[in-house]
Amino acid sequence: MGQADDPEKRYDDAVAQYGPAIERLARAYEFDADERRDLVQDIHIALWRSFRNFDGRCSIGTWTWRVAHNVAASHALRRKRSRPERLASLEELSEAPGTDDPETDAGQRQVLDRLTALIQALKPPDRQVMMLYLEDLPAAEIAEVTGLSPGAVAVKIHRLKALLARRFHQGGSE
Amino acid sequence: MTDAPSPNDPLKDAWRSQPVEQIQMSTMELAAAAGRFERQVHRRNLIEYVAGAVGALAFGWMAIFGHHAGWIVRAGDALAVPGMAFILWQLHRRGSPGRTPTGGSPETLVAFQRSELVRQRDALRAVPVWYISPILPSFFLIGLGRWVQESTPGRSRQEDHVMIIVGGIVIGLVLAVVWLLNALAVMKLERQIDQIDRMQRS
Repeated sequence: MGQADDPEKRYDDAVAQYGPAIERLARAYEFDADERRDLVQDIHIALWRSFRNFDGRCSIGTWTWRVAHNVAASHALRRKRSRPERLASLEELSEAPGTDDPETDAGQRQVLDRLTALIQALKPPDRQVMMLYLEDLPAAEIAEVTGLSPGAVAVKIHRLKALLARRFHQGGSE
Repeated sequence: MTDAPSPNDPLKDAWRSQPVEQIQMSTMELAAAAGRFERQVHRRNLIEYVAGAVGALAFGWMAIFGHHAGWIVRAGDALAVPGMAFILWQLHRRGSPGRTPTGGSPETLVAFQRSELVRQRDALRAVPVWYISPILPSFFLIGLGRWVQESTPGRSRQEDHVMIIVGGIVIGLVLAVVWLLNALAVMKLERQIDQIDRMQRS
C-alpha cells in the first residue's frame, strides 16, 4: 500500500487542512463547550474510520466535509431529542477564545455570535450551504458536498447573501 | 453570484478567522475512543437483552410453576416468552433509532438526511407490528383466563370482571395513544422527506 493510499495519512492530511474548519462547524452546531469538544472528537473518530473505506470517487475535501457535516447533523438530532430547547448562557457565549485586541475582539465576537445564531436557526440543508459558503467553497463544490443541484445551490446562495446583507447591513458581494 | 473566492467578504473573513483550539487526536487516542464507544453500545444492548430475558424468564416461570393459575392464564404466560424473544430479536436486528453516535457517512448531506428520515419513519411505522402485537395474544389469554377460570381472593366474580374490563380498556387506550403518536410522527417525517424530494427535483 502506497503512502497516498494509507488511511492514517489521509486522515492526517484532512485534519491538517480542515481541522480549524471542523471546529468552526462544531461551534455552529453546539453552544456547550464540553459537548462541542465531544462533537469535534466524534468527527475525528468518524473521519479516521471512514478513510479506511475511501474509494476516491470524490476529493478528500468533499469526503471530509460530508462526513463532518453528517456527524454534526446526527449530533444535532440527538440533542434535539434530549434537549428540545437548548439555550446558551452568557458564560457559554463568552467561552470562545479571543484575540489580543479587545476592541476588535468585541466587534468580531458580536458579529460571530449573531452569525452563529442565524446559522443555528436555519433548517439542515440551508444551514449546511450557509456554512460551506462562509468557508468560501465554490458553488460547484457545495453542490458536490450537499448533493443539491448546482442550480439549487445558486438559488440558495443568492438568498443567503440577501439575508446576510439585510441582517448585517452590508452591500453583499454579488 | 460567482464561484471565485471572495477575499473581501467581511462575514467570511470573520467566520474563518475566529480562533480555534486546534484539537488533535493521536492514533492511539482515536482507537481508544472508538473502542470506548463500541463498549458503550455493547453495554446498552446487554442491559436491554438482560431486561427482556428477565421478563421472559418470569413469564416462563409462572407458566411452569404457577400451579394456582388456570391453564388459560398459564398458556398466556407461556405465549409471552416467544413474544418477548421476538421483540428482543427485533431490537437486536433493527437497533434503536439514534444509536449511531457518529453518523460518519460519506454520503452527500441531502442523501444522508433523507436516509436518516426514512430510517426513523420505517422504525416508527413498524413499532406497532414488532413491539406491541407480539405480546397482545399473551395479554388476551391472561385476561380471558382470569375472566373464565379464576378471580382474585376476597373479591366477587362480578367485581373481578369489572376490574378486567377496566384494565382492558386502559391497556387499549394506552396502545391507541401509542399508535396515534406514532402515526402523527410518521406523517411529519413523510412531509420532511417530501420536502427534500421536492428540493432535489427543483
